[in-house]
This record gives sequence, structure tokens and C-alpha cells, in this order.
Amino acid sequence: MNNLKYITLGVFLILIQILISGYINIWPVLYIAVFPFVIIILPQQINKFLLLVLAALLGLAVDFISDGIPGLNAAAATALAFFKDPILRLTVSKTSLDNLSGVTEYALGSSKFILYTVLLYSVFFLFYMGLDSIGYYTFGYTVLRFSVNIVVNTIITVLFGKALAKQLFFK
Amino acid sequence: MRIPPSLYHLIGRVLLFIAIEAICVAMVINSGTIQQYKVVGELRNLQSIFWRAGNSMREYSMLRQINKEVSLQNMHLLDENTRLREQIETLTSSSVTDSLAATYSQEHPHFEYNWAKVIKNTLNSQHNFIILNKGSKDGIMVDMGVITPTGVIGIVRAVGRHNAYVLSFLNNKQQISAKIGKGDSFTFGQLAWDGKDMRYAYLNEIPQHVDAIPGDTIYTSGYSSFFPPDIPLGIAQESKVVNGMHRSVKVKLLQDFSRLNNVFVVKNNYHKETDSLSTFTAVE
Repeated sequence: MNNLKYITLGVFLILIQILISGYINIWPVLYIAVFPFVIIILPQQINKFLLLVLAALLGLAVDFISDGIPGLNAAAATALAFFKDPILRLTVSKTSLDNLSGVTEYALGSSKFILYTVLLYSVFFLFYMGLDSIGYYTFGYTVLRFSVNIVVNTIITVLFGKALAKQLFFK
Repeated sequence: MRIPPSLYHLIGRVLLFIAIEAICVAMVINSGTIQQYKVVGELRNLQSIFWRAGNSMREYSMLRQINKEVSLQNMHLLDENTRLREQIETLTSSSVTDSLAATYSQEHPHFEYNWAKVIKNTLNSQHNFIILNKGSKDGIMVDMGVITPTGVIGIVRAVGRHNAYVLSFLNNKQQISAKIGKGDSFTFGQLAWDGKDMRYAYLNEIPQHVDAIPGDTIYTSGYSSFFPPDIPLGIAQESKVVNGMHRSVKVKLLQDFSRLNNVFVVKNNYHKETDSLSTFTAVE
């Protein structure tokens, strides 16, 4: 049952990502990435090898179905999955980690979940932007793009977590 | 000393991570959007059904604006038609001494134009692309330029039977050879989008001693085999010297990419010849 709800969420997020990539034009600097949400909230007990593979497949699906360059989202999502565990350990104390039922705002608390999300999106966009256009843009523009994307996506993830995950999946 | 299983686990994870990243990097470097189009060609064909439906709805909601644009284009065409008629009359009635003028009017007969409709146009990425409703069955081929009367739209990079994939000018991998100036005094540079605002681009590699006057029009240079010369691209805004070497001119694009509906695909009949000559020179 648990697996089914994460698979459903993953498919739902891919569809949302396609809609966003195809039909929502806000600002070329901004890349709204909602699909990493499912990797962010997957329980930390999940097999780490499986997590890497799942993240890569999820990213590839987004790359191929939406408007991306193949490999770009996959590389970023895999990096996010790889650093998920160390970042979670950095954010949450050892005792809290042992008692953690899921990696959500509901379980971590707002401030820790925001910090955890910011760090994970930093990894995501470091890889995404590094592969996308390293050396092409000025330092200032890269910092702007990096910051805007992390802030906006963290806000979206937190709102998403509040609206969707808590109501539908983690009640 | 016995190595703990957790260390094997960690090494395994790192190796798997490196392997996946290496594959992804290879895909990004080797594939690009063009190969993506080819790999998922069938998927794109399926998607084009939805794109066409979405585009029909968008067009319906924009009918008033489209009518206005068509009227405006008609007006320009009527003007041009009148002007050309006058030129023909002048040329046919004049003597051989006017042959230079005749040559000028026939300067680019090797360019052919094919009308197409945009059914998909991405704007919110650094690598935007456009899908057209015409493909190989309509004579569209790879490496054809795509234009409108008010700008360069992109270059055809992949062709299906019914659709063509165009690498949009709004793409950080795309540059257009352009010129700025008046009369016979033009300076040439590369027009590129900076990825920030779809209304503006930058004309780079202009020698710093050249004064780019705000309000000057930027045109295609004609140096590229993709586009005919003298297509208006945009209006010069402010300029600045970059790295103490060249001047970079901010250009307000004439073409509003968010309102892209109908375009012309340009066929250069001398494209292959130009390419082969370039290759020959390179080999020499």
C-alpha cells in the first residue's frame, strides 16, 4: 500500500511537471521542478541503491516526456537521491532519525524540513545548472538563477507537502 | 582488519552514483535536444495531437489579435506589392544601364519560402524549441532557417513526416550573424539570447570603437546560409564594452515569441554548395 501511494505520487508529479514545462511560462531563469518532491519525502529506510535507480528513472522520464535535454534532470535527481541520506543526517539528530516515520514536514517540523529541502534543492540545481550551462553565463547570473530556483522550489515543495502529502498520504 | 559491511555498502553506492552520473553526462553531451527528438520521435508524434488541440484553443482565444496582425501584414504586403510593381515597370522600361538595379532585385533568388504553422513553442527554458505542422512530406529539411517578417525564429534541426523540430532562437546554443548600421556602413556581430528575457537579445563582438546608436535597426547579415540578408531583427538599446575588447549591444527584438503563430521556412538552394565549399577550404 505504501509503495502504491509513492508510485501514484511519482506519476502524478511527472504529469504536473509536463504541464509546468509545457504550458507555464513565468521566467526563463526559473525552472519549477516538482518531481523531486517524491524523492525528498521517500522514507529513509528505502534501499539506497534502489533510491538512486528510481531517481535516475524518474529524472529520465521527465527529460524525455517533457521538454528537457536527456540526462539533465536524471543527473540532478540522482545527485539529490545520493545526498538525501547525508543531508538528512546533517539536519536531524541521530535519536530523532531512528524514530522518524517519514521524511515530511509533518515528521521533521517546519524549520528542519525547510533546511533539508533547501540543501537538497541546492544539490539538485548544482548538478542541473552545472550540466546545463557551466561557463556559459556570468557568475552573477548563475548565482541569481541558483538562488531563485532554490527559493521558489523550496516554497513550492513546502506548500505541496502541506497541501498534498499531509492531507492525502500521511494523515 | 575486517572491513565493515557498511563500508562495502557505501563504496557500492558511490560507484553506482558515479556510473549513473557518467551515463547522464554522456547523454547530455552526446544527445542534445536533436537526438531527443529522434529517439522519441514516435512519442512526439503522439504529443503533437495534444499540441495541435492546445494550439487551436490558444488560437481561438487570440483571434482578435491574430486578425489585427494579419491585417497589418496584408497592409505591408500591399505596400510591397505596389513598390515591386513600380520597380518592374521601371526596370522593363529602362535601358541596360539599369542592370545593376535589376541585379539587386534578383539578388537572392536562391531562397525559397514555405509557410508553416507553429503547433508547439516552449518559452520557459534555456533550451527552447518549436514544433511546426509541416515536415518532410511538405519539403521541409534539416538546416532550413525559420523566419517571420519581423525576425529570425530558429533553425530546423530534425524533421518528421508531418512535423519539424526547430531549435528556437531563444536558446543558449543559438547565435545569428547580424549587422547594425545605416546605408553602406554596417558592422557585423553575433546576435544571441542571454536566457533572461525573451524580449531582448545581445549583439556581441562589435568592435568597441563602433558607436551603436540606440534606435538603430539590427538586420540579418546574409553571412549565414540559413537566412536571407536584411531581415529586421530588433532595435538597438544601450551598449557596453565587454572584457575591454568588444561592445555588446542590447537589442529589443521585433518578434514577440509569445505570439508566434505563422512562420516561413527558408530554403537556400545553394546551402549544400556553400557547405561543400567551406569544407573544401577547410581541407585545403
